[in-house]
Amino acid sequence: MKVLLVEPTYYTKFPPLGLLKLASYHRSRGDQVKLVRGINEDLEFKPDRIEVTSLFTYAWKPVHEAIQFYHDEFRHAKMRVGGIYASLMSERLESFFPFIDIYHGLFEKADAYIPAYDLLDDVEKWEKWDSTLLFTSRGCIRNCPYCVVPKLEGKLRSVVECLERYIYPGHKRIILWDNNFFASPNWKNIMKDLQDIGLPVDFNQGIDARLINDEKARMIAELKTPLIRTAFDDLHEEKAVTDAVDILAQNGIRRRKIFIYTLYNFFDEEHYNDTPTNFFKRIKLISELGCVSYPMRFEPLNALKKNRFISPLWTEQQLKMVVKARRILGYGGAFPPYKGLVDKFDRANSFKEAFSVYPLRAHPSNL
Amino acid sequence: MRDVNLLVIFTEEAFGAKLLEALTAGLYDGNKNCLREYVQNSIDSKAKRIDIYYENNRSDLVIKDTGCGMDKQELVKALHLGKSEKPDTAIGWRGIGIWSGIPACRRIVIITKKQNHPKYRIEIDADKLRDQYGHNLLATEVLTEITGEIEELELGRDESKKDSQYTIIRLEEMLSNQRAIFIEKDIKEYLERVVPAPFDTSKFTIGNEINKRLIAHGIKLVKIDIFFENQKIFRPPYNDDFFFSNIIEKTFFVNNVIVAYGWLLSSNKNRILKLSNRGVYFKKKMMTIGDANLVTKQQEGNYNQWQYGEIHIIHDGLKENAPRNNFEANNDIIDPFYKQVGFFVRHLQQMNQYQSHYMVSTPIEQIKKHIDADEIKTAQDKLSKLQKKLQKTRSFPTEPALQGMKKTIDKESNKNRIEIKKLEKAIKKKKKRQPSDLVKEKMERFSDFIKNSRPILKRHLSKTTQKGKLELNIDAMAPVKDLLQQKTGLTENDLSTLTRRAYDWKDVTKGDNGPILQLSESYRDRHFGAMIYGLYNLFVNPFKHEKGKPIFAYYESMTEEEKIETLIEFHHAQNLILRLIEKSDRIRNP
Repeated sequence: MKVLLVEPTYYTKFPPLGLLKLASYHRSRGDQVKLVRGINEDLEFKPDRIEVTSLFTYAWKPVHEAIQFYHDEFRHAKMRVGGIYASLMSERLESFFPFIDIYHGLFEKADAYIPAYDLLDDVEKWEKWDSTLLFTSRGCIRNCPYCVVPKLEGKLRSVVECLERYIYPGHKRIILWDNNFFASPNWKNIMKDLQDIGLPVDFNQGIDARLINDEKARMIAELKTPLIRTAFDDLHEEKAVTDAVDILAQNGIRRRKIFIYTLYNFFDEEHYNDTPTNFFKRIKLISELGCVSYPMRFEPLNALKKNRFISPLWTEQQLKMVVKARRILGYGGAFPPYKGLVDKFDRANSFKEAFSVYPLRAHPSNL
Repeated sequence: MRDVNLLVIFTEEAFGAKLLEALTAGLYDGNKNCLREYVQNSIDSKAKRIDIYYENNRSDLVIKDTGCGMDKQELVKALHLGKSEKPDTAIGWRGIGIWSGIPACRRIVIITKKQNHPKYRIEIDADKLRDQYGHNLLATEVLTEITGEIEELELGRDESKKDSQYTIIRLEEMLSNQRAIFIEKDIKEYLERVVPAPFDTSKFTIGNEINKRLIAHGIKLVKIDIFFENQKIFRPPYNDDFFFSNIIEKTFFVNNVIVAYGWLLSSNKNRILKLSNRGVYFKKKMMTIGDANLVTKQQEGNYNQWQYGEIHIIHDGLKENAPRNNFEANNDIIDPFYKQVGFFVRHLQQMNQYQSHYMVSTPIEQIKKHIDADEIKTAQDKLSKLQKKLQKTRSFPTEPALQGMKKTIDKESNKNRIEIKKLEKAIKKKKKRQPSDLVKEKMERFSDFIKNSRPILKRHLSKTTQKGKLELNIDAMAPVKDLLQQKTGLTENDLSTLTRRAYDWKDVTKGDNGPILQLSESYRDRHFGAMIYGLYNLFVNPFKHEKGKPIFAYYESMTEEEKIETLIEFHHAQNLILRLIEKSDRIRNP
């Protein structure tokens, strides 16, 4: 059987891990597989089956385009669509394309396969990809209201016993996608494996500041980590974040290597303490700690367009100020602990003072 | 009658899981042998084509054939251990083959389709099997535990339930310690050596004739195309050019019954054949049994590997053992057969010695080169030596199968003798000639160069030219050595040590103690040190007995004029080195 795997052309920094595992699953059944990104007009591969993945709900458009195109192209082929958007909004998808099968959630049968990274060589965007993407655990111990993980993946469980076999030959980096790495019962073994393997490691989904202690910080410091990601989403976590940063710093991790995601624009009936002032306090604190803050704008689970949701506690004007400040004062969307910026946040007494780009002298190109 | 009360009855309770380890790992010496087992199964299933290839960046190895495939019952039976219902004509008969990939991977997957039957898939969890060797479980329990359910798979559009047939064996997630064993080059060599691949008769045309003779001796050629990574596999040898065209044929009899038929080709040069083209192998049903040593070790003396050949076992009584590295020892045929093989190999060796003695085209070529390079004295010496050798006699073995080769070798030898006469004449002619004016002119230039050289170099050069030497010799770098010793205060005699210590290089990385001399304040000094040694090593041969070896050949093969020219250039380079050493400052004591 011939199986075409389709990654729609939404924006992403990471290749489609699910499709790559699915590719190995199909190969293990004697199937020929082919991976494409987006529309490929002159495909010589004539599939019997087409598997399409999807990502965030607001990135639905390229998914629809891909489904329509490949359906028109290969009418006889069975088509199945999976991934986040397909799982969360299957009814919407089905109303557009009654002829497709929709797969909800994680396809467990394929999960344990080593992803077929070799397929990436045929996709221009991914041909230079050299990192192993890996979940050592799924799910999370927390139940944060703004987070989709507990809804999609459920309770935390370890899924990888021995790391070594999952590291793809020739890869130069390991990217861990665990939602809450240190909450996994198996974290210590995995850390030891990571040390033995010796490749740079990115805890890509961030580590839970509340779980950092001396032992963990020491082990992190012994790894090659380009940066350490954590989050400061609620002012109640001030002590946990401050302590975590201090412990990491004491163990030799440079503060400006610590990257702290900062949620804003979140609101639901039970949680309404995310206000501009609250956000400003968190950013200011991170700045005082000498770390990098990275504002994360909340998107509702089913958003069909990005950046449309506005919390009743925020105004459009305020959200725009954050965008502008990130662009003009920050670097790459983040606020690094540059001296000028630290001073500015330090002097500021309010959200407005902190995020207004004046009185910094306007750049000539903006005049 | 036996008393039932005293009998030891074996039931499945008697077979523990540890037995499985012995079966799957212990029996197969070298894990690549599983490839042979799978190829053999494919041939037995009447496949016309086998494709072996990697998937998932070489983490999976796939063996796919176009054989008859299996239905559900046959698939179950194929997994049974040590039971085979294959007919006598089949190559495999032990019923273990399908399990042979266990030590190499984490999972074996079998996908199979028989005509008019669905496509089935089954998975064997090798990892789990390894886990359970250690536990005290029954073999049957473990086998059931590690073998998945038979899955029915969907057919693609290019398959039909009626006609499609194949079997695919997938060794998935090869263990990391196995990947080094299953590398591309080694698998290719292994297949070429072991499986019943055809000859590449486009380059090895003698193969056509050999095939005819094999058929005439009742040996069935296996008609199968085997591809590895899309390249067709051919069995050796690969080229006519290395061999005399005589096909040596030898039939082995035991008790007046034909046991085996062998054919061999002999090297047309007096040298060991290249690895892929040498060796004499036992074959049974076209599969190789054992390695090249198995044949040659049947005689005790040396054998110099100037032949390629196959000895095909015809007699059914000679059965291969399970690892296929030898024949079963418990029968009356093997000993007399091996004795004959040993005797035959001894005669081959005698024939090679005869050829080595009388066929002298290589020394003739060498002498020709010396004459062309005006090295008349060397040529003369070598020629006399050769003539002396040829005056001695050597006998040819009595083995009847080899007598055809005697004629061929003698014919070559006679050609050689004619060549030798020509060489004698050529040497006489050359002796009369005078050195050309060009050489004189160059020598004058060389003298001029010496006059203008640095004193330390001049001293050395006038010494050597007085002796009339035009050779790069062991002393050629002496001036550099002298200067280095002066500058550093070291007493080393070995230029390598001297430069390494002076400029602190060690494979052009930093050495241990830091430099003694400094040319500039940069690590490049180490490169300079290495360069001095490099020049020395490139041109100056420290071992007199190695003269004429390849590293020196480019100098030796030059004409007289070129030699002088090269010497001048060499000493120019030396001048540069001397200048830079002079410029170096001593920054510490040794």
